[in-house]
Amino acid sequence: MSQDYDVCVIGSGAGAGPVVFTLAKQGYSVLVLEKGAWLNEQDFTKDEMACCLRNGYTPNLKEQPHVVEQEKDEGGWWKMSTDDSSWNFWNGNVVGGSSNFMSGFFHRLKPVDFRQISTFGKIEGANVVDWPITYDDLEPYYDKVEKVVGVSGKVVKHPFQEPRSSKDFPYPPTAEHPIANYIDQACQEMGVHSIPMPRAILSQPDMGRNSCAYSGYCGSYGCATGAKSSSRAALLNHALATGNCKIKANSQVTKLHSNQQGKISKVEYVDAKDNTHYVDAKIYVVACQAIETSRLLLNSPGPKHPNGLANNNNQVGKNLLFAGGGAGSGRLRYAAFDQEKANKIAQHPGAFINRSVQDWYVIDDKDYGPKQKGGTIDFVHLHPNPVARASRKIWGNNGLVWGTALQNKIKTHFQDGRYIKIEAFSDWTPVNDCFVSLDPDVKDKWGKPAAKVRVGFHVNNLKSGWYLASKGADILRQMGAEDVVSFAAGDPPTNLVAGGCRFGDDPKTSVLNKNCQAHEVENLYISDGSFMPTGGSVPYTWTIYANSFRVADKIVAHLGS
Amino acid sequence: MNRRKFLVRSASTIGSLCFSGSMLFSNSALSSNKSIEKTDIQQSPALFNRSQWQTLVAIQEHLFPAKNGAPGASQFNAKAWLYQSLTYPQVNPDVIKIYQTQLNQTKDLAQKQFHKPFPKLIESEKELILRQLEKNRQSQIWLAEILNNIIEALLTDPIYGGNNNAIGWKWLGHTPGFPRPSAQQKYYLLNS
Repeated sequence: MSQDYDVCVIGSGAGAGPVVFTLAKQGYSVLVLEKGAWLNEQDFTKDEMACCLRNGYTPNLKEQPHVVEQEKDEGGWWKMSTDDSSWNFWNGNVVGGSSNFMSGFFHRLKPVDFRQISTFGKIEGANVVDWPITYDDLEPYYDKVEKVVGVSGKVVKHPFQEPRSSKDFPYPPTAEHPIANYIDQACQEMGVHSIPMPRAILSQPDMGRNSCAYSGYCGSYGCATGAKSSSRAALLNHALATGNCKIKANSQVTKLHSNQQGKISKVEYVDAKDNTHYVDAKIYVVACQAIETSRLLLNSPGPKHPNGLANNNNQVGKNLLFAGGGAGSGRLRYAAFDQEKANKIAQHPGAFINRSVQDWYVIDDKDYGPKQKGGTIDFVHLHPNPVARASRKIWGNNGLVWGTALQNKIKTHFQDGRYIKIEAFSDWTPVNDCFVSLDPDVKDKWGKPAAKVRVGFHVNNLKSGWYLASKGADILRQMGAEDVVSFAAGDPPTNLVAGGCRFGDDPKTSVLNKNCQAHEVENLYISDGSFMPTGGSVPYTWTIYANSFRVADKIVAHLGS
Repeated sequence: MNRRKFLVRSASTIGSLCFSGSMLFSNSALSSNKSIEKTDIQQSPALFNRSQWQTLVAIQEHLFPAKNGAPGASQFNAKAWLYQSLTYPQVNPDVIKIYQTQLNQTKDLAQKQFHKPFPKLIESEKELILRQLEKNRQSQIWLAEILNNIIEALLTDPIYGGNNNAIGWKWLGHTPGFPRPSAQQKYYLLNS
């Protein structure tokens, strides 16, 4: 049978880009189906309405809701459509996906992340497992991401520096705000290792892309220069240039049809005018971001897959991961420092702070408990969004603040000092009560059941989050910061999501084999973050890129066999 | 948006701690907006009667007054901004009803206590009325929504019709990011 394409890739973000890039470069014909619009550098501006206050880059929740299921105080679960709540699980539905809007805080996983059970033993109430591959299997691909996608940084010695095949990053660190030096000083005084945070941002022009322009508006915003290493800027544009890749934007895949042999036979999708189309390929790659990937499989039953594609062992959607951790902030008040230092702190936050601490990636602290996984502390500028910052001031200790009191509060926040934010990343411990299923009642505008996301969490997330955030807070205090706060919360950060289609050696407990090919569907690969059985204590994107390059090599081998 | 959503969304902004910068506010506003300049309140669907509009404007000006160098709500089109928030993509009767009920309560309270319409009260009297209203949870959430709406009008890009001549940004010494959106790049035109 002749197929329309060698490979059909559903989704175009960080999980899709490396597969598309690799296959197109090797001469295979690739079709990319992306549900969102095709925007480029010239379309991306620093508009808080588009990125954050309205749904400029994500679907209308009335037409495409999710359902979130939360635990009741008295036990049991209650559900609510995201159209009726402040939740939003969409993270950027345009060509290149949410990688267009990432901050690009890039950390690799460490060898210990692949061997958590072997290293620390079981955690009660959790589904922690070792990975079926090791750090050494993924290292060459982390290295490839640095060079092909573009990661800037500087390797320094610290207790948890992971092994590297390249001595240093291919691009020097992005420009740094003077606050970075003050963090280094404070850490040195405390005997802590501050490290330059690697960024998926080009610090110099290369590969047809410009350098960062240091506008101060990075995370949540699309990049107007191409410096941010989005799947679109770094990979899809190069794949298109080969002539072997076709991208269809505004194409919502509604079902993967499968045949009597259990293999995918065609993809059904609707275009912007709601016309239905079908396309077939030799191999299908799903990379819709974890929740939507599981949903698409569950919405695709077939003769051999009555419970949804690749779901005969009821594993699809299970062990969904977010990022555990905590957060905090502190203010460097100009008046608390001499004029020279105050002027430096006041410098426009276009250049980055870019500092991380990984001294507690494994926590070996008797007061905390047995030796166990900790995580990463990142120090960053407070998000610059003026509406978001000012809106936080309307609530005081005794209710609403308004009038001159509110105006003074807002003015003080904007003018009296500069804030540093702590973002602490720890493992989102996989549990039975964090999973994706189909909601029986809520449907999208095409009549397909919406994903229902149960967001139960393990208490370990909170414990490690508090621990790490308070360590970050200590560093801020050492710097002379005021109003220092740190905290952790159980609610998941909806922009950091993985899992749901674990890879593993046993089909009874995993959806994918170690090559990220579905155990039950020979022509299906999943190349987004869904494969991760545990998340590690860093943002996911670098690992998703790296694994997708690894999967691309497996697909090349598959096609060549 | 229905009444429940109004309450849920508003409540979600209270005391919330956010992990990522954009999470807390990604969806907290009343609803999506269309172009403010297309708005003609005089010919618009009758959301509120004259007295209700006057009360609303007086509340906005009290909550965000032109004082000590700060721009007042009427200087940055807070009224028109609120109108468009309530009417895009369509007038939602549930939310309008909440506004009407709350505005009538404000009017009645002013009349009962000071025997005057709310806009005619002096500042301290207005403060008393609004603080009294705030004791009711639903009224408090309503006032919070008005405040959030005022801040949007004050600090979003002037292409959307608020923040005239960047008056809000200038007041705070805030440097906007570049490139700024052009009038053709409003968020609802991105996909067209």
